[in-house]
Amino acid sequence: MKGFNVSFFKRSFISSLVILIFSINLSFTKEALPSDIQGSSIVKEDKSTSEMFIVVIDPGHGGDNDGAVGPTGLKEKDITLKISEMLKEFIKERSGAKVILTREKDEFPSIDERTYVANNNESDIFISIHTDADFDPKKKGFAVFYFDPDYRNINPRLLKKKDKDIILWDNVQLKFVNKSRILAEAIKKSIDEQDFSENTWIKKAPLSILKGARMPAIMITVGYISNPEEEMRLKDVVYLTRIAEAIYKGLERYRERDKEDETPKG
Amino acid sequence: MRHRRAKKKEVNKRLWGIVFILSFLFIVTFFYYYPIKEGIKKEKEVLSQRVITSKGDVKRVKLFFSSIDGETLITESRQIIDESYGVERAKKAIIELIKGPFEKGMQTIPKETKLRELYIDNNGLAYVDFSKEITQNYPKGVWTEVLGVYSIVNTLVFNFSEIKQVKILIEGKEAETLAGHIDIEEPFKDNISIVNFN
Repeated sequence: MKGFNVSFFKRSFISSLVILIFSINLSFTKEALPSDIQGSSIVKEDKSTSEMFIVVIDPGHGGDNDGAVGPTGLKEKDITLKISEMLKEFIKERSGAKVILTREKDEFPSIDERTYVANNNESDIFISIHTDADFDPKKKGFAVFYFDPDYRNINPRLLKKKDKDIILWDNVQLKFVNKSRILAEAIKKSIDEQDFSENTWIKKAPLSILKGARMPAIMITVGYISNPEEEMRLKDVVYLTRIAEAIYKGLERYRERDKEDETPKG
Repeated sequence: MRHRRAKKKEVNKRLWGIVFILSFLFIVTFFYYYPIKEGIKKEKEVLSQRVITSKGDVKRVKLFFSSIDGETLITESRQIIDESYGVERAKKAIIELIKGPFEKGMQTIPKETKLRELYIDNNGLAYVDFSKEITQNYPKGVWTEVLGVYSIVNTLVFNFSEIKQVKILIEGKEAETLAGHIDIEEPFKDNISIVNFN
C-alpha cells in the first residue's frame, strides 16, 4: 500500500511536470499570438487535407462598434457585413475557393482576433472591408490599403540577438508587403473598370489589422459614408453586389498573375 | 663677377618660387576656411536668434493640416507668442493645430478636443495627452485617421528638435486607436512622404 502511494505520487508528479513543460513550450511556440485570444474558440481548419485556395474576409467593425455612421444613420458595420457575405458567395460559386468570414453576425471580434482567423486558417489572402469617413462631407472615393512598413523607428541594430530570432507580431506582414501591393493594384484595376467613383487610390498605412497577417493582406474602403451622395448609393443592394463582384474580379486577376509568376519560364 | 651675378639670379629665382608657393597656399587656405568661418558666424546668429525666441517673443511653427481634397497633409505657418520655454511652446503648437487651418485645408482633429498635457522624456519621446473628444468626435474614417495621427506627430517632430518620436494618449491613458484602424499604443516617428510642401 505504501509502495503504491509512493509510485502514485511519483507518477502524478512526473505527469504534472510533463504537462507543465508542454504548456510552457506551447505558449512560447505560439508565435506572435496575443495572449487574450489564445483561449479563443476559433477552430483551425486543416489545410493539409485539402490544398484549396483560402480567402479570409473581414467585415469591419460590428457589435457595439458601429464604425462610421452616415448623415441619415447608415452604419458602416452593416454595409461591411453585407458586402463580405456577397463576396463570399461570388468566390465560392465562381472559383470554388474556401471562404471564411471573421464575423458572420453583428458582433465585435478584436482586431488581433480577426487577423488571427486569417493566420490560423493559413489563408492565402486576407481582405478587410470598410467604408471611409471624413470631416469634409464632400470627400468621396474608394481606396485600397496595404501595410506601411516604414512607420516606426525599428532599428535592427538595437535589437538584442535573441530578439532578432523572434518574429514580432508587428513585423509579420513585412515579408508580404510586395504581394499585398500587387493584390491592391489588381483590385484597384477591377474597381476602376466600374463607374463607382472618380477616384480609387492605392495607399500604404500602418493599419493594425494588416500588420500581423502572414499572407498578402489589404483593406478596401468602398466610398465615404460621411458623404450624403455616397451614403445613398451604399443603401442600394444592387450597388453593393456590383462592389462585391468587382472585388472578386480583382482577386481572380491577382491569382492569375500570381500563377504566371510561379510558373517556371522557358 | 659673371659667376656671382648668375648665382644672385638663381637665389632671386628661388625666392620668387617660395613667394609664389606661399601666396598659392595662402589663397587656397583662405578660400577653404572663409566659408567655414562665415558658416560658423551664421550659425551663431541663428543660435542667438533661437535664444531670443526661446526667451519668449515670437516663434513661427509649421502646422500640418489635411489638404482640401483630403489626400495629403499641407503646412500652414503660424506665429506662436509665448513667454515660456520648449515644452510650453510645443503645447501652444498643438493648441493651434486643434483650432484648424486659418488659410486653406481641412482640420485633422475635432475642434472640441482639449490638450490635457504634453511632456518630453530624455530620449526625445513626446507624450501628448488629449481629452476623449479626439475619439468620440472623430469621423471614424481610415485615411482621415492616418492624416490625423501624422498631423500631430509631424507638427511636434518638425518644429521641435528635442522631439524625435510621439506617443498619443487619451485621457491620460494609452489608447488602442483614434478611430479604430491605427494602433497608437506605440510611438510614431514623423512621416514626410504624405506631406505636400507646395
